[in-house]
Amino acid sequence: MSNTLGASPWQKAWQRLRTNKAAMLSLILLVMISLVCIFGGWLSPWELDDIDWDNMATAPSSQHFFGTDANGRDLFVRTLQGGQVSLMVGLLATAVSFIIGILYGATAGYLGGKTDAVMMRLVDVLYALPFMFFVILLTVYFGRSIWLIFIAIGAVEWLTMARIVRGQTLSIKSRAYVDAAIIGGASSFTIIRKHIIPNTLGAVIVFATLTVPQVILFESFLSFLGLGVQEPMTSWEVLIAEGAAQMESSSWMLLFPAGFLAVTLFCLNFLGDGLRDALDPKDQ
Amino acid sequence: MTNKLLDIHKLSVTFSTDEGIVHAVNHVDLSIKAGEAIAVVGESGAGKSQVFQAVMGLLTKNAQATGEISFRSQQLLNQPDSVLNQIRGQKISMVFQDPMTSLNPYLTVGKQLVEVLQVHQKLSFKQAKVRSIDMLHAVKLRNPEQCFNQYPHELSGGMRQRIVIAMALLCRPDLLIADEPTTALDVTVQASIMALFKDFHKKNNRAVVLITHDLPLALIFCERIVVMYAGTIIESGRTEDILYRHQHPYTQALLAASPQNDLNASGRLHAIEGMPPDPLKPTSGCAFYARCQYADQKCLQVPKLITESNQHQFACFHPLAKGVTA
Amino acid sequence: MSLLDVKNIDLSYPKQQEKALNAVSFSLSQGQALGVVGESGCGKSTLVRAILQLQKYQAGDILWKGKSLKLCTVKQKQQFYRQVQLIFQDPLDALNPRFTISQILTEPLLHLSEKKLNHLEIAKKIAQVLDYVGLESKILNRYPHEFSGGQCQRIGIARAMIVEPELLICDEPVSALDVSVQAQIMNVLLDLKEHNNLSLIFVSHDLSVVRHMSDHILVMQQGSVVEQGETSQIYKHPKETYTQTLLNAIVRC
Repeated sequence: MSNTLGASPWQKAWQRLRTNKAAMLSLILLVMISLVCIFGGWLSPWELDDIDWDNMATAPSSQHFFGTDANGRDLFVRTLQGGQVSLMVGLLATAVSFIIGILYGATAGYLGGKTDAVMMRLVDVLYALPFMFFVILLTVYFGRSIWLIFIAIGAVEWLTMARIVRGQTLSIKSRAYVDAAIIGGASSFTIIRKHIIPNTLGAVIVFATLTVPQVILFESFLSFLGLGVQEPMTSWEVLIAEGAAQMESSSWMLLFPAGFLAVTLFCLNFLGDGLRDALDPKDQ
Repeated sequence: MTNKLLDIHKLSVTFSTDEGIVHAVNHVDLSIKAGEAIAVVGESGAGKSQVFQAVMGLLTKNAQATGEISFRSQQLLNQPDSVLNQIRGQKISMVFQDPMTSLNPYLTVGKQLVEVLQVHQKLSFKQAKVRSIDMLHAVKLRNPEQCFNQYPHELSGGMRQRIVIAMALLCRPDLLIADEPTTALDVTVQASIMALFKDFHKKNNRAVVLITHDLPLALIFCERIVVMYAGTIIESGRTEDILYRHQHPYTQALLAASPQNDLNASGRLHAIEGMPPDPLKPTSGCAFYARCQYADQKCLQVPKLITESNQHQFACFHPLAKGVTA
Repeated sequence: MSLLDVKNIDLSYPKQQEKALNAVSFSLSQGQALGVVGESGCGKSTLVRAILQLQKYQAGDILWKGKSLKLCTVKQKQQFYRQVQLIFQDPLDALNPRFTISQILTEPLLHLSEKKLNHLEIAKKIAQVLDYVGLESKILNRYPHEFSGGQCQRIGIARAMIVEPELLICDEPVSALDVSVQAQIMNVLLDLKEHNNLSLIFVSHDLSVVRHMSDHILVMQQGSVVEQGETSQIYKHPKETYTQTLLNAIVRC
């Protein structure tokens, strides 16, 4: 039996998560995929944009583990590099939107009244803006870059995060321990930071793990429109688009990046489910 | 006893939790006759709710219950829902502590009452509505017709509890179990809710079980009291015996701790110091040992239930002198 | 000397027509224990929130030690909450589930102390309040969910006492507890009142509980003060029928 004396709610949640086999397997797989994407490139002598003139669109072999694409570039290295981009976009963009959204939502929810109304109307307005138009404008102005993708995606995702956190804040605000903190002399900012935000994190974390897949797919949408990463950098979605075009003749060009993407998305979803169960507010 | 309604024999309930096995109920024997009004009294964690959750088949998935529970010689313990649903709501009904969580906030009061009758007694909507409004009258709500169309959040706590009681009584059950029905309500409302139970008991000669931590309240409204501590019955008997001739030191302490009593010589209430034993670590010997002023070496053994006169039972090696007043 | 003067407070919640508090007035002198009694919805908790400036009132004035109470600046808030503290009705809800008991007890010291305290001084104060409420220091690294209702309430009392307030407001502190635990908590409060020269406002719907804790009683009904006077007078010779109704509700055996 695990010793839960003096166990914080986080530790108890972690213990519960550990009993969920699907979630733990997903976590391990995600970590493995991330490590492979970062370090796996050393296993292959080929660089990202090296062209093997002798082996254009060839099947997997000992020279090219995943085969080559239509331009003779090694698919193994490109898949791994694509993974770096997709994961980075997914995780970083989510993390950025996480932070902005939490601070914004908790502040609006806690301060309430007119401040809350103004802040949330701003969110409503931003939601209504034609997002693609905005991204295209930025691309035209700044040119295509990966940082643009981060900003664009983060700029959209924080809105939903703000709404969720604000909702959570409204219910936490009425708890007696918030009143106790006010009477304990804590300032509004301290209360938001120490009492409100930590108690919203349960819902936020679950939402975040379910947002990452969405973000990755969103990036693919941008790539498809030609607004994504610039050559020779690539992402899984770009590789899938290229592979789909060659599907009949060179199926490996589609299967490898699609396989990686599918496994990652599955794992993120299982992990999100597991986290939701582990962080079940019924026990808190 | 041939008119035994509910017979509980050697009931034990344990829960498997992250921290270990919780021994909630230990070998409880209890029987209720038709038309009897009894109270099961004890602190939080004494196991009193779990006994009746076992009767109703409402124990959580991590619970294991052993022993026997029979209702009019029909076995109830660990039976599937298909069997229990014939009894629950129809022959045995239960009322819980918090009326707000017993009522669906999205449905009107009327819809919830009618549903009970439609499901259990296959009545039409019209018939069910008439019966429901009658029952709302019977629980002394001021505007039954208006209440019928209202939502739970529009009503006060006392009114909601009356509605929950009305729901429990709709199918005219033989046994009504009330688990801390007045704990969430004001003192002023308590008396009128208890009067409802008394009414139901006397007028229809139905059995009522009141589960409570408030011994003085139990003494006013019930004929027989069962006192539980740390999962076992430590004393039981008729009201007069418990009030004037209680034998167990815990019963004495419970009576003394009531805020309705006067302060003692040092200007303090007669509190029972300490806490009940940890249900994760069951004690060997008497469970009340650590908090008892009369405890000695003898109490390291588990005391057996001794029957005195006329159904007065207690489990203690140092019963109080006879004729002790509260 | 009058510690707290509440003068004709009118309070309505937004979007509600009926007044939650209607011309409520009373005075509390130093060392006095005032009981506030009434049914659910009578405004007693609202009165507590108004006194503690957690809820805005539309008319009337509240004087603390003779001066009109205005908590606009951080310093004013600190000064007031150093002197007036609150015990909550739901003991577990009053503790942040993610804080250890040590963090819960330290928090008021961090924000309300006149001068910054070092670790030793904080530890000393924590040990002192744990002693007041009869808890051991081994609870400090644990979390609220590991404790019973009675223990949580003791922790709440310890937290309130750590800044050594002059007035302790108790909002239905024993209503959520078993009868046998109620007596323990009331004894803790009685001890504190005696040994720490504390003034008390004790709010409850149960007159039998209030009787032990107060020398004066304020009876409220639907936002208004119906009767006030010395406890023994209220009990023996209540003037209003409503007060009599409350007295009749005490279950006697």
